[in-house]
Amino acid sequence: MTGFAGGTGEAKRGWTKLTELTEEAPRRLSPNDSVIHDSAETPTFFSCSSCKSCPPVKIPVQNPMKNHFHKKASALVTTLFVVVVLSTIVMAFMASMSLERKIASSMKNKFQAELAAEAGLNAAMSQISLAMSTNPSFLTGIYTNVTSGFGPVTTIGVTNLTDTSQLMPLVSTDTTNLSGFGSNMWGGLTNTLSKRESTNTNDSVDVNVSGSIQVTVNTNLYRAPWVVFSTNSSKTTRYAFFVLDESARINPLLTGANSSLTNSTNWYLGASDLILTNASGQLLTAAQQSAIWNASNATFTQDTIGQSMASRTNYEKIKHLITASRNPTFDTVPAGFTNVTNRAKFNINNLATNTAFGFSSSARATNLANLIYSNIPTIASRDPSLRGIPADELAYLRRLSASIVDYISDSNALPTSVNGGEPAGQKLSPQVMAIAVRYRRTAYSSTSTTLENQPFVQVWNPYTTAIDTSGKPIRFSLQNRMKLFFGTGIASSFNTYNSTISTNLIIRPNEFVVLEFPAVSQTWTSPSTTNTPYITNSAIGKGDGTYWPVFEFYFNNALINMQRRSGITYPITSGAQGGLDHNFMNFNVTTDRYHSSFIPTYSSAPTWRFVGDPRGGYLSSYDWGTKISADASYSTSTRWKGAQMTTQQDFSANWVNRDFVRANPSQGTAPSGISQTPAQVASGFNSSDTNNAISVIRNGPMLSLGELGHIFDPAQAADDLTAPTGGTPTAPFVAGGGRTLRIGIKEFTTATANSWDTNSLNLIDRSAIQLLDLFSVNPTNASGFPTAIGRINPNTAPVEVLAAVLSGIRISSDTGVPSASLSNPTNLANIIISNRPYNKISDFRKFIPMFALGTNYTTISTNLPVSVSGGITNLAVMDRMREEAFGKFVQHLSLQSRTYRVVCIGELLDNKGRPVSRAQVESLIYCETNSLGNFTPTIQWKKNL
Amino acid sequence: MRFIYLLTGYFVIQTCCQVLATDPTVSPTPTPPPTTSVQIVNATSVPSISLEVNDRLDYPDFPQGELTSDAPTEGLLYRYKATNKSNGIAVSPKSITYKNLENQTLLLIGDFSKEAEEGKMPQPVQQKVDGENLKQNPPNFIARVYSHQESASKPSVHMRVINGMPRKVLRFKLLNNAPIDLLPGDEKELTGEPSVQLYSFEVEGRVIPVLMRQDSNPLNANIVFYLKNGVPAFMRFFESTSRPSP
Repeated sequence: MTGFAGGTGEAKRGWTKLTELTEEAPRRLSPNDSVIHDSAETPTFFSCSSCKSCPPVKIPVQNPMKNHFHKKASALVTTLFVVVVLSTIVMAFMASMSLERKIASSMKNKFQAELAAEAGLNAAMSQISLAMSTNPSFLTGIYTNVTSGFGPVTTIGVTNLTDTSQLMPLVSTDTTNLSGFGSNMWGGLTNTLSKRESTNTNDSVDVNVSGSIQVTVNTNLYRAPWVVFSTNSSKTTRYAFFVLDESARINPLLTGANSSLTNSTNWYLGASDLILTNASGQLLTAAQQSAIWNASNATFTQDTIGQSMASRTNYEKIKHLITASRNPTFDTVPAGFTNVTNRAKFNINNLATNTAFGFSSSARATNLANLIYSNIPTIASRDPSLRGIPADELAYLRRLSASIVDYISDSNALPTSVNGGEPAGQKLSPQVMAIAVRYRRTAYSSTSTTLENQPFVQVWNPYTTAIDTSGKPIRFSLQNRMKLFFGTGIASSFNTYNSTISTNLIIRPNEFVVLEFPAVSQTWTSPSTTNTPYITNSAIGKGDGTYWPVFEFYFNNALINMQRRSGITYPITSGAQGGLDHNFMNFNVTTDRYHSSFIPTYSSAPTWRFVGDPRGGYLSSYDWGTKISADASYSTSTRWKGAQMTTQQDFSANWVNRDFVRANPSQGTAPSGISQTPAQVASGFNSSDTNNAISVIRNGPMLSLGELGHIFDPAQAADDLTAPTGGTPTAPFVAGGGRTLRIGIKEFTTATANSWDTNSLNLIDRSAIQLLDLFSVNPTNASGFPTAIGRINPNTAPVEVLAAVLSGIRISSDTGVPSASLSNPTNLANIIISNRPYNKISDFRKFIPMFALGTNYTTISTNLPVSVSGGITNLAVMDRMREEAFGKFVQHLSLQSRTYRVVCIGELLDNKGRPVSRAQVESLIYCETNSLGNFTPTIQWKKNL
Repeated sequence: MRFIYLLTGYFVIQTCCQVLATDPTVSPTPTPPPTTSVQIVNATSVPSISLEVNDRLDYPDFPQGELTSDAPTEGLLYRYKATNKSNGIAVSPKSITYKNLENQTLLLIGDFSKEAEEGKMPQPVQQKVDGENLKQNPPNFIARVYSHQESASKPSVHMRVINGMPRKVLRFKLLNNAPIDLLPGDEKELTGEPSVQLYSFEVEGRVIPVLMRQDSNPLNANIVFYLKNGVPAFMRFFESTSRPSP
């Protein structure tokens, strides 16, 4: 084998070839040959110094005493000696001529065998080209339905890896088999496998000669059928090749420099995230990895990686698992998607930020929504409240897209509004959780009264990132305010409140703060007075929007929160309802009185639930409780600068069927009395609350597509995914929020037709993970394709490679619990293998459930409960940590292999069909995708074995 | 009578408690007051009226679609005189005697035209009246009184639909029933309605969806249609049996 110090293997193989191809030649003496003297005029024997097996040559030598008596005969002897020498020379020359002739013949045979191997290599390229030219999104997998003892066959599937009628086996096959590829008569796979597994050795050959492909681990045969063709009337050549997917291997030159697999927020930085030295999935020792890195400047092929290994044995343990290839994989949209160009996946970071796709963020969100709708329209039907009407379904997608755009766009960008003004996008902004309005009667007579009113707005930072309010104006607007009933006068409303303040706050993750707005006064009159002014219970006006105040909250000049969706229930048209709940209040005293309204979190029969998610507040026009009915309730029933009492804002209990919230934020502080405003109470914030923030927003490009799991899902669906009770397709008012897209954990499902995943009653796939089939976060190359290097194909990778990738994953984004590693990567890798094939990235859902099992993690299984009652999954950590392992794993995978290793044997046969000469060649074939989506397989590297 | 009051009060409290069990946002409703109170609802089909109460101009500008506070009355006999502010046409004072110790609503409808006889609304196919008859008809103005306590005794959820639109037929359809046509001035009481219901009304082919939500007390709503600038409009008013304590 080349590449090893000493070259012992080469020398041995050279000797073998010589003996194989030539008869034993007469031996020539060398100057170094030693001379052995007999003790008594016995002939002297010459012995070969290069070996011990050659018989000594007997040559007589004259005795000097006898020369004295036979001087006259010396001439004859001399002459005879000369004749003998000359004869020997002539004979040696003749023998040499015979040897040279035979060597020349052998070289010719060898050349013809090499030509056959080359022909096989070209045939392999043609076969690959034939297979993939029909669809730029072709898939590479392995066909395992083979006889025991035979290794799987690498295959290319035109559109999938399931339907055998379009699978191309990447082993040599008769050209007649290839003619029907792509037609209904295609039987090449069956014919090829049949010949490959034939017991007749003239039908196929094991190309793994002397362990050239693989030495250890499995003993499966890499047999490939012979393809025979004649070169002339007397001799025949044949070839056989076997193709391996280079994306099944891992490149140790790329691994180990970063640590993104353990980073809580940066889930992918490149192939360098991977570490091959972890004990639970070890491919290399630390010394081996270090040696490989040290030699990386001079390492260009896999064999030269072998030079870094201490021994051939060490190298052969892993040589079938590693590669030196830096060829990229190309992200292509799978078959079945219609509105794509050249099958290139869309770079979602580019779509969200590049003004070429829309000058405003709203336009880009709309473009993104249209793109999803035209390719994966079933996702648009996730929202049961808007299902069935194309315009409404698009409205849902625009909301979702606004969240995506705002997650990606930089921190200076403003939140994105869509659908005519909905604040659907979610930037890093405080979210309104409670509103208190303080009232004080400042004047009162028989015909007039004056009331002062002042709003206090409690906001929450639900994100894992702090919010800086400095330099960002905060505006609060209270509209459609309730009527004041005074005496016998015509009931008239409080004036619309609208005020802007400036603050200089750093709102920490999961912290609640109270914003104090200026007080205003208003006067009412009455023809006659028989009672004091009062406000009715909002229950009196349920169903009548004129009784329900609604608010708008602006941060940094952008609308962040509001009640009621524009165009449906606000501005008030026909069916307005809901808003800030309020109780009956009689202003018969001059002390302060409060209306306090909170975004509620509670469930109600049968299935609808308000989870108190302010990110979706604009979707719901339901009333905000909890009102207070007496002055004393202000201090007994309200909490400020923290969550409300658990019966009112219990996220942990009420989000359990949506995104799991491991721990509630700290409860707020009760006012000491009616004279203490919400802004004056002490903060209930605890520094540990930071760990329990529910939401993640990046304000930068996604590093992993798994981050789509952080995107707020605006679907208005009850716990059982039905449209909320009381709602109609155009007037839902509860049950929104509490969900982010499910990417790294199992999709929300029910046993009904409303399910988002398919089941026997719902054949419509509404799962969010389908977005991964359409989008990429990899950089786009000059040909318009997102590309990346070092990706692993889970359809072909061996268990050792998959386990090595999994072994480095550590989940840590929920900083309130210990970080954890996958406990048994090999078992998990086998689960991945057992779920093959994967025809598209969204098929990864088949193995995703394993990432939600607490028992699959080391630390968690011993330190945290792993069961969450009522939840779909049982990993008792914040949602972002539930999806973290998949988010870190998926970015290292690709289904679009573009580099193949071909191992080919060529043989020359004599006229009796016996092999005369053999040659073996190994090559890397790289199929780069051009801007048209086409490929031209090229030989990137080749060696003769 | 006292027994009826107690019984009514019991059911109100019972209903309130049931609602509280399912909706924690609801607070107890105050008990009915031992006084007489009146709420005036202006659903006339003119932009604004002025209204004299007991010969005193309490409401010089009372826009349509508005209502007054339900303040306690100073007696049971009241006299009202309305004037269409647009043209100065006034109606003869109307006297009303309220029921003692009840909350009541005084609903005002009409368009001050003289096409209909007194107490009736102009109908879609109005019998042609000559100029003499026209002069004999008073300006169209109807005042109706609804007792809140009376409504509270009916099965919940209770809703009354009133067509206060002159010359317009109000059509609506209840689930699995034939459409109901209400002629001008007619009304229809519905009981046992869903707490949240989207109704669809129709006036001359124009559909008006109205979402009614009565999932807590008082559970007795009224919806009255009138004409605003000639276009159908509606307002809701509710029959609360409570009112503020002094």
